[in-house]
Amino acid sequence: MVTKRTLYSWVLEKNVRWQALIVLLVVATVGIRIFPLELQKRIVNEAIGLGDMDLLILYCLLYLGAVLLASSLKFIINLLQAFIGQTTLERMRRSLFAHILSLPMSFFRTIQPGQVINSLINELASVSGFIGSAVSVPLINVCTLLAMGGYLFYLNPLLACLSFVIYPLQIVIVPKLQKRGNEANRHRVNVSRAISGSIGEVITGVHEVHGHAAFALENEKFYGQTQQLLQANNRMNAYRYGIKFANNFFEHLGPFILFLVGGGMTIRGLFDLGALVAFLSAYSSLSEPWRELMDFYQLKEDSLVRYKNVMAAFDVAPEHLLVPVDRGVHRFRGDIELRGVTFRTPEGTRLIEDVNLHVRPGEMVALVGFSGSGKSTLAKVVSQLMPYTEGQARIDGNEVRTLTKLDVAENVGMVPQHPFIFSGSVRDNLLYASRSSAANGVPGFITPDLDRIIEVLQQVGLFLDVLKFGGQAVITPDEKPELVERVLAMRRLFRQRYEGDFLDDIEFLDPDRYMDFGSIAQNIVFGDFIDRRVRFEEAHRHKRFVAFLGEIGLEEELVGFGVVVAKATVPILRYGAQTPELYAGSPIPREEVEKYAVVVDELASRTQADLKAASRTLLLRLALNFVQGRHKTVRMPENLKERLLMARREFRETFARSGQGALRFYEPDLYVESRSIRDNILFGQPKPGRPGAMDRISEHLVQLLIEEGVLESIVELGLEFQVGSMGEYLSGGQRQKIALARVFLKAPPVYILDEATSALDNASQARVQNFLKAVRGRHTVISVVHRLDTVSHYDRIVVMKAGKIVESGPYDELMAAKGVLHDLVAKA
Amino acid sequence: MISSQRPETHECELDCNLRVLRELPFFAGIPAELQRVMAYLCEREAFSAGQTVLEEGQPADVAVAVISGALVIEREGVVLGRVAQGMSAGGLALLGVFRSLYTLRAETQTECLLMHRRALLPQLVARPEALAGMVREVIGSVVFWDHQRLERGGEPHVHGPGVL
Repeated sequence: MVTKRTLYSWVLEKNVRWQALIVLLVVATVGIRIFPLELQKRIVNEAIGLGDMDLLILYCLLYLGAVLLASSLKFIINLLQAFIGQTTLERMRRSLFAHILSLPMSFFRTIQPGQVINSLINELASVSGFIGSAVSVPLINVCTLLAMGGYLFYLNPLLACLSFVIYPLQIVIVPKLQKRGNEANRHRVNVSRAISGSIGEVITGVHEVHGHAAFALENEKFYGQTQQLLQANNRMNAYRYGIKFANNFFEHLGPFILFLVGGGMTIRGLFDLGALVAFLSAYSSLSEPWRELMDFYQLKEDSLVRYKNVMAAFDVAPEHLLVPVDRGVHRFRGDIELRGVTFRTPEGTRLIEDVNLHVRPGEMVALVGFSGSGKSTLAKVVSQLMPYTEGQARIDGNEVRTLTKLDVAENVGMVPQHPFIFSGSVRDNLLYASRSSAANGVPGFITPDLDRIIEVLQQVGLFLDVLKFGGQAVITPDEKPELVERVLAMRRLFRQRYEGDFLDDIEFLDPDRYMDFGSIAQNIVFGDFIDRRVRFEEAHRHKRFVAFLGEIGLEEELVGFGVVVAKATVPILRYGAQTPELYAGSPIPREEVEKYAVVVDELASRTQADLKAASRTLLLRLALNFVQGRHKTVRMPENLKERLLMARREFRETFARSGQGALRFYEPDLYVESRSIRDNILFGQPKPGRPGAMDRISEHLVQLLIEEGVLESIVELGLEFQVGSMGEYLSGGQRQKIALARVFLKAPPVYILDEATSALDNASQARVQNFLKAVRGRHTVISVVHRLDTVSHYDRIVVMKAGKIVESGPYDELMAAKGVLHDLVAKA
Repeated sequence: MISSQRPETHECELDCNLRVLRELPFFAGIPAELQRVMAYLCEREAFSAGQTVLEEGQPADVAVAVISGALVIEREGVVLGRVAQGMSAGGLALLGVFRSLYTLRAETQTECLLMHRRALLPQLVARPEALAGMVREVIGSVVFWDHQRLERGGEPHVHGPGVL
């Protein structure tokens, strides 16, 4: 298990030849380091002493050459160290990550995601430095010290003995400090891990924070935690720099002795000057390898602490093998048998007790009962997501606890009530289980094609959602020329057939009508910029555009309108609790409220004409970005709309005269690249707040897509819709549908649904129930059901209470017996 | 010409929403500035005849006020009542989490003001005095219901909150 490995075991694994190369380079480097020292002595005694210029030049050049060579070798050694460190770190992270994924579910209830991230990314990062230098640094520096020491003895044994007397002191004092530093480091690691976990928890539950406006509470908690981390870091740094201080002090104590004794000997003629220079130079050269050894020692201790802490945190054995060894994956029929199954928590609470249940292959069983009756626990036991402490749970005669993860994954499809949606596309999420089967090399598995995906999307009621996502895609004629042609054809058809039916529901792009759902800037321009980087939100910065507004007398009018909007909006934004919903329909973004508040205050004492330039710019921007259909705080007067329509015509004329090609105006026969496919077909956009009209529009659009033969193309685009972090762009119902589709695409013999349709509307629930009825006999279904009006068609109802099965049988029989099920239904 | 010195005479959507909210007893105890914020956070939606506004059994997370038209209240397929213009339903959904006990369906073309809990509840929580005012209205309603039940000769075994 990776957590049992020592740190040193990583040093040589797969690194032997690189470490051997480093050893060779180190030996060469050490030899070359001694050479300049001898050269210094000869320069002083021979070249300078004898006044030989040619010899001086020769010795100096040799000195330079030796230094360059030594530096080059050191550079190569450093590169190799870094390479070894990083590649080993990459292997370490992969091994640990694989181990973490295999840990029992119970482990993940005790650890926060943030702690795992901190361990894998931050704590292990600094260990790579140690691994890279574990062989080279001690070797090069010990060899250098020995070589230098030998040279010093060669020059003068007495001075050499005096210069080495410092080191034993250092060896005693520094490790004591290091031990304290290690304790401080361990404490810092624990505090850091705790704070990471806490951050992860708050972010995961941020909807609770917003729902209860717990901003002050969470900020105060975080403040306390950062203070703890600050203190831990300060303490650790005090020890770390204390050790450096001690090392530096001892380093300078040596030269002090040498100057005193060596200088005295030279004055008395007992030692020649050249030898003294060489001795001092050699001694000062000792400080670098010694310091590197001290630093390495600190790095080693620090890395050991971090590595041990990280590995200890995950030192749990997996409960099950991941894949079968010496056999293929099981293929079950779906016969599930539970005998005396009990799950007792460590505290002794029995979540399920003495459960006896036999589900035949192809049978549909509903598990019902009050909250806390053990239904979900039972479902998780069968899915191997929770262990059982007593009894036997078998699938086709195989004990669940002995099955590998792959056996269960290929035979049981579990859909939880709150499914996890990965960042990525709809397709990525739908095919997650299928791609896993392919990655595990499951024999005979075929990745679902588009037809199969569409079939399943319809079964779970997600087809129209995916079609809608596809309709929202933005494409260009360059990317998809055929599709764009078909879209323009559909536009003509829609106009011919349906325009009159939707005059109140769709805002069509009409050059003679004001767009309530476009900004003022968009209304004036009535087109798109060819350069997609140009944004309407920044129109107020466009000098020529602003100059145009000034020329036609509209700039002042718009600034005045900006004043009205600011005065109506700022008080609401300042009074309300600062939630995302408050700003969703606001013309003023959150980060600019105070700026506009200052402008509104300024207006209390100045007229519009006297406003500062910066304030006028802000107000102009507010007006240009105002969207009547979205921003509720002000109603645009009709005369302003008329004025803007005139401006639109004038803009077009001015632009045509200037001959620029930067704009593409909206034309009925041209594709609008900034708008979605749906809005291109409509040549407009549906007005929000009309769900009934939207349904009818969607029906017509689907009809057109089928007629033009592009339905599948739109579905493909829809499948590429990015769902956001943890599916944030999806509703609860859409998330559940994706989770259901994910499992249905895998088509395992057993479906286990744990309140998997709780967030679905009635129509979608009915679809899913119809699908389950259709697969009856071919797949075993165990469904934890909360809504009792949906269970009558199940083969059997199993009623649970306080962890035990209290009733079991067909719906009609149990209702006629007027037992627990009857009471549950009556109370619902 | 728009002037900041001349007040607007045309009503914006926010003012229209505010007029509707002020008629609702549920919002009677809320300060005027907060009513304005809540009016700002409400949304208008138009429903075609027969369209479902709220479905029985689904999480109830929105209160509904009828601006024009009418909604029918259905439970298990049986029509129990109507929510006409000026009336509202589902106020408790602003305060708590539960599944809707009935379906609301548009009887005719109906325009509604929707008050979503996710938008409005944080505003109430941030102003405890306003939340207290709303709770007082709820208590008043519960007392009224209990009174009606007593007048009708209520069931001998009563479970749940109330004056009994």
